[in-house]
Amino acid sequence: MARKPSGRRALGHSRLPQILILIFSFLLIFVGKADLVLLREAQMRVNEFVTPLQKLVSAPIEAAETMFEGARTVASLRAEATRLAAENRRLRRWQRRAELLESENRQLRTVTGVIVPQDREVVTARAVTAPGSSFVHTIQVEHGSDVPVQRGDPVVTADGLVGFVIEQGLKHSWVLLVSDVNARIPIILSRSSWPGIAAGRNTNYLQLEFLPKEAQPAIGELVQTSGHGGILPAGIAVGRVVKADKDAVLIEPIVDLRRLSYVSILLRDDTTPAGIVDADRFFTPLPDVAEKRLLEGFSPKDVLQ
Amino acid sequence: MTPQTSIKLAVDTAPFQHRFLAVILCVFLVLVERGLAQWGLFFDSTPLISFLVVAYLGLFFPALMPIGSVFLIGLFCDFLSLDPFGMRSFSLTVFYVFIRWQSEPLREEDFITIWAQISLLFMVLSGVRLTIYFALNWSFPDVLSLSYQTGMTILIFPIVFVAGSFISTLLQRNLQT
Repeated sequence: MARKPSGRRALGHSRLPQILILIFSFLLIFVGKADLVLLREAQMRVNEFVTPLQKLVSAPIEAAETMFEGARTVASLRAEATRLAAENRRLRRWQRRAELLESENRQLRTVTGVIVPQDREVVTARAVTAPGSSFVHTIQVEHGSDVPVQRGDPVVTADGLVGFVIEQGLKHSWVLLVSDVNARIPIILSRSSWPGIAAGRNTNYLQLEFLPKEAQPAIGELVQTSGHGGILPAGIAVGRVVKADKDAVLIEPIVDLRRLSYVSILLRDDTTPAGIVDADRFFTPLPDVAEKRLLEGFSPKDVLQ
Repeated sequence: MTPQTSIKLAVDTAPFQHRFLAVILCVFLVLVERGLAQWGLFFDSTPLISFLVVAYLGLFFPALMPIGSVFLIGLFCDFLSLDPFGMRSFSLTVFYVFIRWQSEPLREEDFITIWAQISLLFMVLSGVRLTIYFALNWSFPDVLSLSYQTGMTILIFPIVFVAGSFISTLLQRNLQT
């Protein structure tokens, strides 16, 4: 085989066929534009013939594409896994945060329903310690500075009485729980209005003392503060009677003292020192009718006697 | 890098079998082009490998690829696709003729010049195809995908060139032995 020395000369040799073919191919465009049925039919036939070959040729290409896609998917899976791991970590942080907020919300809900007496202001405090011992039932609460907490201020939740402040500090105060052995809460039975003293025993129950003999506390009867003594406002739920027999009447505190998180401190007005009884607020003048009861459980006759 | 100095296959009239094999190769590459269209990457803009092979053969082995073969390959493409009929055969023929006109000076150039010339020619050809399409239909196709196809075809040329050189060298050794 001898190589042709010049391309131009080669072109010169075949110039006419080239021109003819060029013209013919150009004319083919117009033939195609004419959209001849015969041409379309021929196209279909050629395609039918070539399609099996096309499938044969396309098979390795498809395989390569599959491999390529697989590699890309693996690469994207790794990136996706990394992204999901990061998102998972972020969501876990959010979950922990949500759980904390949910818990805090649940705890705060215990103080949102507190009924505040007219002459009191309420301050929400966080219980920072629990009794931790069977010798004394006190908790420490954090109320922040510039809060005029005083000794004797009642501490409540939405359910009822928790205790009262026994020591106040700048930011923290100690609260004596109603269950403490030193706690003495003037109470009345909510249905019969018999007065008494709920005494803590460092247990889960309070003992009702100084209850008149006529009183017949019923199981489940609500016990609330009477307001006697001027320390605690009247009408705060203390507990429910769970045992009432000749030996003792026991009260279960209405507040679950083991699960205290947030409490409300009912601040007294500074002009009203603790222990000073405001007779106008806590006592009613003797009525004209002898049978009418004055204080809870007392009638004028009893007072006079 | 150009194989023109050592290649003895570029003769005036190559045996029919060789020319037939060259056409079969191009037909195969046309099928490969269609197969590549199945990739999302080349969905409507497959690189025109057959053009590149025709260019390479027309440049270095014109005897293997006479214009009649080129026209038949183009016609085959026209029959296979529902593109405007005759467009492929016309553009391929024009492309080949221009390659042949430039073949002698191009053979003496280095690869980069050849690549640049063929790239330029292919871009002009894309413009011609676009013009013909517009003249026939009074509308433009997706110019972006046409540009993408042109770019991909130009980028693939070095692969075709290296593969062609490798195969021709291999064939030459076999013929010598």
